[in-house]
Order: sequence, then C-alpha cells, then structure tokens
Amino acid sequence: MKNVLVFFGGVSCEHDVSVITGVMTLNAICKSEYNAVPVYVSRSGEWFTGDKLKDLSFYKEFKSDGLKKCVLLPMQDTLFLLKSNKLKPLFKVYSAINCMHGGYGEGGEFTAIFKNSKIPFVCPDLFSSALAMDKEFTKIALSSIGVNCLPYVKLHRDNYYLKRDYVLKVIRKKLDFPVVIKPAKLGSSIGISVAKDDRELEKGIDFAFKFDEKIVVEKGLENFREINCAVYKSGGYTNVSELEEVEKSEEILSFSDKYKIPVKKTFPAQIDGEIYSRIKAISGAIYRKLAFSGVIRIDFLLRENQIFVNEINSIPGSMAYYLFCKDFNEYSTMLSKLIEESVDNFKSSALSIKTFDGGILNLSSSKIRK
Amino acid sequence: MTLKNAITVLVLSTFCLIFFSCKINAIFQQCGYKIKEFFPAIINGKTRPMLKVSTYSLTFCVFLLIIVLFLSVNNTVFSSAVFILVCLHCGIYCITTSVIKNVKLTHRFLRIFITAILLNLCFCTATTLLFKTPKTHYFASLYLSIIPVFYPVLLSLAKIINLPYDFLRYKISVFRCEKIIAKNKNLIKIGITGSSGKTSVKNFLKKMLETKYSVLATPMSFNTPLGICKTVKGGIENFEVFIAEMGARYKNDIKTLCKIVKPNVGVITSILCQHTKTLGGIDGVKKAKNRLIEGLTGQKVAFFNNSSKENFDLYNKAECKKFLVGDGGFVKFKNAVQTKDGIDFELVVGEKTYRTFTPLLGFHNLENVCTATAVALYLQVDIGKILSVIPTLSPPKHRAEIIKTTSGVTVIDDGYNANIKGIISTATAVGKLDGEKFAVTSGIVELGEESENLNLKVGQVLGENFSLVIAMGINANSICDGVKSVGGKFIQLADMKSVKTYLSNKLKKGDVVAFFNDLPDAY
Repeated sequence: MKNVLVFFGGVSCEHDVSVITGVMTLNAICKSEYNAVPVYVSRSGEWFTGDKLKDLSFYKEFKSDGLKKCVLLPMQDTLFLLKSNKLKPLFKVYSAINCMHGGYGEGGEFTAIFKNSKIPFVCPDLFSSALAMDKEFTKIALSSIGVNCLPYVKLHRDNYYLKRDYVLKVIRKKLDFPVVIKPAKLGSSIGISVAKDDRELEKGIDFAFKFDEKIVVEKGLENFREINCAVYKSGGYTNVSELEEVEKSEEILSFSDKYKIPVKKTFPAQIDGEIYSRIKAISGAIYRKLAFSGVIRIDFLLRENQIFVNEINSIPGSMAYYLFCKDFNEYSTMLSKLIEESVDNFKSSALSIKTFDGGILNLSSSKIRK
Repeated sequence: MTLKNAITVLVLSTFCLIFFSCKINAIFQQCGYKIKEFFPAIINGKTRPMLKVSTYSLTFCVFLLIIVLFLSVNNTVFSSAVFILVCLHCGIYCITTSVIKNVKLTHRFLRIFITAILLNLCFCTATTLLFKTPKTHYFASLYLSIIPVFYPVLLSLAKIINLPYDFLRYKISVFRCEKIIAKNKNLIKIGITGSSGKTSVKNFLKKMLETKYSVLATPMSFNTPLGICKTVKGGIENFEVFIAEMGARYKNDIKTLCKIVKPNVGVITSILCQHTKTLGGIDGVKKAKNRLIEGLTGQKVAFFNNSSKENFDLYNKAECKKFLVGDGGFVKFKNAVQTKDGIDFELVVGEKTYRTFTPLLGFHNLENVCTATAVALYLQVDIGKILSVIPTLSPPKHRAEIIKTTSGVTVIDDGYNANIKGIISTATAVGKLDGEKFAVTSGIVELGEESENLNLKVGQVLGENFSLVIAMGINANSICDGVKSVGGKFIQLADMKSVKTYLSNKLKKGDVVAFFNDLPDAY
C-alpha cells in the first residue's frame, strides 16, 4: 500500500478551516490504492498522527492523549514516530498532501520540509507558494506577466508610525476612497477592512498592523462581482474549473461571513462568453507561467469588462474540489491524479544533477587561502 | 482504648484535615505563608472562613457527644457512626465552600502541609496515650471535632518548624542567583517598582527592547526574591537585558531585591497609598520605593513617572542620572482620545510629535507606554521600532483587558487592578464609551484607616461613570454610599455567583461590563 500523508491544522489563524479540509481529504482518498495517514499540526506546531484524527468531532475538545508524535527527517522519505525523545521509523512515504491554510504552512514552509525529506508533495513549490502568500509579491509577479491587479500602496509598520501623516497623504494622492486595507501575509479575510474616509483609513491600518508588519492598501472597487476559478495540472494537462460567483453581503467578506455563515455562491457563474473564456485563459496562464503545482484557486474581481486578480490561494479551502467535482467519488479520483502527478514531478526533478564533486576539498590546505 | 481505635482516630483526623484545609491552605499561601497576615485574613476575611469551620466543628462535636453520652453503644457501632459523621461533615463542608483561587502545590507548600499532618499524628497519638481512661471516647471525639479549628495553629507551627530549612534554602537560591547574574558582566539590569503599572511597564518595555536586544523579564507578576531566582535559574548568558519587577510589601523587600539583581536602571512607575498598612503611611511607601534608587549600581540611571507629587519629590532627591517622564519630561503624551478599540494619541519625544494609536484602555496605560518608551530610547532602541510596537501592545491579563464576546457585549477585565488611580482611570475611560455600562466591584482592601473614605471614592467614581454599580464584599456599604452621593444606581449582591446570574439576565448587545478587583480568598 502506498502511504500518503495528509498535513493539516497548523500555527495559523485558519487552523480550524484547515482541519475541515484535511479531514475531508483524508476520508476522500481512494482506500484501495492508498493508505491515507493524518499528520495533524497543532496550534503550537507539534505533529501528531493517529486514526482518531480522521474524525472531525475529535477536534471539538482536542486532547493529545492516544495520539503519537511524529517527524520527518532530512533525506529520508520515512515517517518517524517520536516517543520519549527516541525515533522509530514507521513507514516509507509515497507522497504528502498539504492542506494547511495561511500561517506557517501555506507559504512554502512545509514544501521546504517535504523537499528536504525527498518526499513528493501535492502543493505548490517553494517559489510559487511564497509568492502567493504575500499580497504585494503576488501583485509584482502578476503585473510582470501582464495580468491586471488593483493599484496599491505598501506600508511597513517600522516606518509608518514615524511619518504617519505623510504616508496617509501619499495614499490619498495615489488611490481614491474607498480603499481596502489588508495584512500582506494573512489568508482569508482576517484583519481586512474597507475605508471610505481618512478616519476609517487610519483605524483600518492600525487594525491590520496588529496582524502583520507589512500591509497593502488597495483601491476598493464599487459595483464589482467576485469570481473564483480553480486550476490543477495532471498528466501534462491543465484543468481549469468552471467559474463560481460569490454573492457579497457587504463590501468585503469578513472572516465570520466566509466560514460561519454559508455565503451564497452561484455555480456556474452567469458570465457572458468572451469574459468567461478570458478568465479561464488567465487562470491557466497564471498557473503555468508562475510554475504552480497542486490545486490553486484564483479570486477575480470583475467590473464591467475589466478583470482584476484579487488574490491567489495556493492551498484553497476544501482543495476547491467543489469547482471540479460533482461528488466525493470524483474528488477521490482527482486526489489520485494529484498524488500521481506529484510523484511524476518528483521523478523528473530527480533527474537533474544535485551534487557536484569539484574536488575543492581535496586540495591541500596550503593552496586555499582563507 | 484499643490500638485499633487509636489508629482509626488517627486516620479519621488526617482525613478530616485534608478536606477542611483546602480553603485555609489557599489563604495561607496567598498571605505568602506569613503568620502575621494569615490569622487576620481567616478571622476577619470577606467570607469569614474560620467562623464557618468553627460552626461545622461545633455541630459535629454536639452530634458525637450525643452518641457517646446518650446512646450506650459498643466500639464497632461507635466507630462506624463516627466514620459516617466525619464523611458527612467533610462532604457538606466541601460542597458548601467555594475556593476562588486554588492552592498551588509548590514544594514549599507540600513541605509545610505534610509537616502539619505529621504534627497532627503526633498530637493525636499523644492524646490517646495520655488519656488511657475508659472514657477515651470523649477525648477521641472531641479531638476529631476540634482538629479543623485547631488546624491554622498546626499550620503555623508547621511553618515555624520549617523555618530554618526554608531560610537555608532561600539563602542558597539567592546566593546562586546572585552568582548567575554577576557572571554576565555586560547584562543591562532594569528594576521596576511602583504602586501600580509595574507589570504593564515591564511587558511594554520588554516588547520594545526585544526589537534590539534579547530580553529576559520576570514572568507574570513574579516580584519577590524567590520569583527572581526562579526566573534566572535557567541561566542568563544568552540575554543582554534583564528586567526585574520589584514588589514592596515590607520595608526591606526592595533592598533585598536590589542586592540580588544589582540594577543599573531604575524605573519608578507611580506612588500611591497602597500597602500603607505594612509600610507605614505614604512616607513609608516613598522610602521603600526610594530604596531602588539607592540600590542602583554601575551606570545608575533612574526614570520617574511624573504622575504624583511624591514621585516628583523622589526625582528631585535622586543623586544620579535621572529622567522625568510625563509632564515636564522628555517623553509625554497629549491629545488622547479613548475609543472602544483603544486610545488615539500623540507621543511627544523631545521636540518631535508622533500621532499614533494603542489598543489599551485608560490613560494610566499611556503613562506606562511613555515610561517604557523613555527607557527604550535611553537604551538606544530606534524610535521607528518603538512606534511600530505601540499599536500592538496588549495589557497584562486582568488589567483593563478589553474582551469582545461573541454575544456583542464588551467585557473589561480589570480584576487585578487594586488601586484607586487605576480604578479612576479605567472607570473614566469606560464612562466615555457607548451602551449600558455595568461595574462589578468589591472595592479596595488593605488601606488601614483610610479604607472607608477610599471606597466611598470608588463608589463615587463608578457611580458617575456607570449605569449600574454592583457591589459585593466587606466594602460594599461604603461603595454604595459613594454611589448614592452622586445619584447613581447600585445594587448589593453576595458573591460572584449571584452577580453572574444577575448579569446574564440583564446584558444585551452593545453593553459594557467592567470587573474591578475580583480578589482571591484572603480578602
């Protein structure tokens, strides 16, 4: 049996959402082909494994009794159990699926661990994860490949409060109200607010700075539609999902709207032909040009004929399976495809030469000066 | 009396002790194992714990005597009757007694507790041996019923027996601690004292200094010599700054602390009439705090928060490099406005003014921010870094903490704020917020003769700023008088439990509830 690790939880504001994605994925993985093994990353960052973790009700009152601590080690594609500071190899790992949203998980931190342990992974590679995590870098990368984003101003906590009035003047000059204030590296909608005047702008910036030392202030659109589109690649073919429209109750989705109250979504979105195909084409292009892997979801803002990319989720909630699949069986097939794709990717990257013995260390020490 | 019966009495009395001691133990620990404070606390304390224990014991005693005197019973029946009675006695006591703050099972406590139990065994054996009459039943039952009342004395005796050992241990850990601190020659040592704001200033300063140094600070409100020893125990060779919070309940506390820490930088936050009973008036407080300035070593720099005349006097008196913070100082604040999210204000540093924000409640917190800023600036932390820390500050737990509940009620937890200045500051800050405002308080304790007047003032301030004042505890009457004098609404309730039920029926979305001094059992 091929052992597939599913990582979820994490030191993150979106810990709980990740648990749902993770448990859902664990139970969807095809049981005849793979042995799905949970690796739950607790709020404090410890790794746990155990069959109890496959049950969602277990997390209501989380207790670590009955779970085993586990770790991955450099250059060994084996999961180790950690028991009273002793390591015990458990099994070889076939592939790892990363279901962590936000925080220390989505930004490439775990991709680095998988690479270092020589394990194929279902999630974007380091560069693309890190890029999608940071709202400013996303904008820089997107504009360089010719994709439209909203104009913005970046602020840093270290110097904002030193010259607050000057910075506010710059924002007012560059952007018109309303503006949207977002922490640069936080997922979902935590810390985000909309400002219609100077007072709200200041409050919003103070609020966002509680969550991140870097924030972006973006031009806020009025009368816009929010469209989501997901992409994944398998067998050399890029699958672009149908489009989904998110109905908004307020200007932005706040955290409670997004996760507690079910948001009204229209699927497939009612969009006329030309824009529809443009959005799908842009989605595919972003995925290919920025070298993504795994499943990503791109959030677009649409105003009349203008298309803007709002953000890229490198590990979307529920792996955005609902945009591709009608039911859980189809999700199971999709996961199998993703797992095999990750293994193929890993094999092809393994072809390149990784070390090179130039004999430098064999030179006698007298020849090496300092 | 047979040996079997003697053992039964032994076991039963130990059993009795363990159950009856829970609350008394907690109070003993909260008094810092000081016998001088312990007895007044258990006799005059808010809930009169000794009265309750005595009542229970007396009832028990009567029951036992009835059995012994009026029913002619044999040994077996008597033993089982006693056993059932002891169980009932302990059970009912435990159910009807609530311990607000449970006893912490520290080594020291366990040592004293076990000594007390051993003492009980000795007394018990002595009693049974001494009275070898046929009427041993009387003595046995009397002993059993008296033991809970006798327990505080046992505990004090146990403490006295442990004294030499504790003293030795204390000396050893202090000696070790001094050595550890002295080993790190470049360590910047900061001592913080004052009647209020110590923990806040320490936390704020730690956050600011951490942008440049690696900082060790005494955790939570550890402010005694042993607290400092515990903090330092793990070694400090990797740290560049050590911040020690210094509490002064008694005259020489700070002197002892200074001897251990040998601070280079001294910070006096504010001086109020607190702990006046143990320090001897406001002058005593002043003197006690000034020990920190006298105890400075090395570079010798002192910071004074110019919030009261007393502090200004100390500033004038100090004979080292000194800075004043606040009015007339080089760091101060102006144009402060309190909102439900925090305070908008302008921080003035020398000639420059920075407009900023901090998510705290009450302007006394701004004084703390200014003090921390002044010290951080002196230690060459970049003003940009300091300004980036200020909007992320949060108060220590239970110090004007703003909690937004899911039901839309804003809870202000000012549970540890036990001084008039803090209460005034929080109350006026809350007073400016929207919505119905409720205050829950048990007043200020330990003020000597001024107690009544100060609690009257607490009542006045709360009455002016809140829609309803809920008073409880021994100071409830003075507080209510205060509220009445300014024409506010008030209600007097027995304890936290009834407050909770009362409030849960009354609160609605948008309301604000502030808790002042939810004090532990000792009061």
